[in-house]
Amino acid sequence: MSGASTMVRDGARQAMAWLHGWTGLLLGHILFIMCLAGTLSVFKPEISRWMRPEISGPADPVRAITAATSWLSANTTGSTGWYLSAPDGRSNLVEAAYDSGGEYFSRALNPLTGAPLARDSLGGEFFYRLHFELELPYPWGRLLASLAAMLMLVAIITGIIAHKRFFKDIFTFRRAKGQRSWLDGHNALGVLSLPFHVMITFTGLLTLASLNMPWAMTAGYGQDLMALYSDLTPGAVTKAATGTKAPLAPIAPMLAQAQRHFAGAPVGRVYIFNPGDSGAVVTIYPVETASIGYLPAEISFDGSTGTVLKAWTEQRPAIRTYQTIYGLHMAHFAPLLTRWLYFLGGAMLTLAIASGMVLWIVKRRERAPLSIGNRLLERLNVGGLVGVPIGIAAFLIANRLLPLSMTARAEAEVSVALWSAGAALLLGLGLTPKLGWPFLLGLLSLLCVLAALLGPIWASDIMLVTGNAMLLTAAIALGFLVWKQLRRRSTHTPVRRKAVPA
Amino acid sequence: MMLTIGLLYLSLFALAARMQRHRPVLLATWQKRPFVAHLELAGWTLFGLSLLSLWLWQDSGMALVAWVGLLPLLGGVVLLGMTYRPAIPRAGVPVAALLLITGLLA
Repeated sequence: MSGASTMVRDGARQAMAWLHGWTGLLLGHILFIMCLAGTLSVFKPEISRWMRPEISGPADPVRAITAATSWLSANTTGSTGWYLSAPDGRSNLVEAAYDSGGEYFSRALNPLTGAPLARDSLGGEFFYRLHFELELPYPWGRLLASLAAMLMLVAIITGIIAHKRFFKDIFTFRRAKGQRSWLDGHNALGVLSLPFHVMITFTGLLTLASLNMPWAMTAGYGQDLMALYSDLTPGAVTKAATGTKAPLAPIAPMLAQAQRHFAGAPVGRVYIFNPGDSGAVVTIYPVETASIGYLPAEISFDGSTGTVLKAWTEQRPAIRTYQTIYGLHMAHFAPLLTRWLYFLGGAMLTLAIASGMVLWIVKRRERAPLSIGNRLLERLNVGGLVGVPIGIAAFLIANRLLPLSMTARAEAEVSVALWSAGAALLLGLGLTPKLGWPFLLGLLSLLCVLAALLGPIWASDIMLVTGNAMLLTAAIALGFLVWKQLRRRSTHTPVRRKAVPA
Repeated sequence: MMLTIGLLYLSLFALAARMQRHRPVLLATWQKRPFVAHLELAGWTLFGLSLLSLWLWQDSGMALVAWVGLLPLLGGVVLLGMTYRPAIPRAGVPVAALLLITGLLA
């Protein structure tokens, strides 16, 4: 190979390494939040079960939906819609969104009585929303998440090109070697799980494509969003409320008929429009676990008579393709082992981001004293990378400690999480990194122990036991990390410089 | 599933063992055996076979997703094992071979 082409190749690699560093750094903390929340969202229903320990064991979806509609019929007034998610093998209650008397509610309903649970909590939904909305108002959170995902894709591609010894580095980890170890760790985390990282970033970007690339839609439909919606979901039935009151027909036969229509697939979601009106429509959707690509299908019934209005199954290849991409990201199809593998891939991506942020500082500190900007970043790393998990642990503790009778309890749990993460961030900024890392990691470890011990530690529900075991494992791992840090510091003796003869 | 796990682990082990740096840790007294020269070919062949074995799954799409997840899991065992407890990745070889044989027979 000629010297010129080698120079071009090396120059291109350097440019890619530069871009990899800066794209990762620019929104690195946002990406860290997104990846951590996304990783936890893999177990969204299980986390919800941990956070609602009063309801244990599996629930029958037909019975639960029937109980929910009975309770809503008796306890809501002037509703425009009830949107219910049926329990399945993972979730054991009805997730409901409904309006009553002009107020909007989002509650978990008891599968036996249909009444809202006393422990009002967002459960795993908090992590799911945080993953792509970042607790920011619409559309800013989603736009920021889209931007961060785009930068992530750039960082992954440039990281691959910048990597000189791609395959060699898969199996290389030299421990206790400062910058070398951080680089090895970052490389191994990134390369070992690379196919997963590419898949999850690309599919994640596409789930928000309608927001960040709306031009195809506006070119085809202009401002007529209703036309777009009806083309996308030709099976939807829209009926205006008549104003004439009519009780809801028995829902169990509708659910049974829907299940037959879905070739035995269980009922997933039930939407009831204009409940209590003669223009009521009941639309039922199947569960999303049959295949990777969620198969859009629905069957609609006249809510007052129970007769079928329309039944529809999506067949268009373009939409089926999109649903496969969407399904790959959401992992609703995944059996237990695959869910754990998704969790592992997500955890590795989160750690790759965190190690990259730390590596940026370690690399520069070994070359020269840190600039003011990098010193600030170092402290931001302490506060951000440990502060976010502290917020999550505080969220779990708030779930156990806040009084059940508290108004807006679910919102209070979220507030506790955000304020705790904010306080940890300030602590990270205020303390020196040498003190900040062990202090905040130790605090996180204690909070994990507390979260596990506050609830029913040993319950019949496997979800509770697993959740507590995970928290205690995390606490032990963090405690070990703190102990190692403190021990290294106490045994560390400054290197004596060789005396140079005069 | 067992067949895929067995093939993938053995491929990753062979690919790691073909490297001069990792050979003493992973192969110990077997470093001088003649098969060592063919580890790269064997590693990539097994890697390819692990991908081909996905066709045997009931749903090859789901199988591919699982394979993507197994890659960091099994690679992590080899990598961390080499660093902290070399006996673990070495002990994984007969286990993977057993899984492979069981998977072939099943």
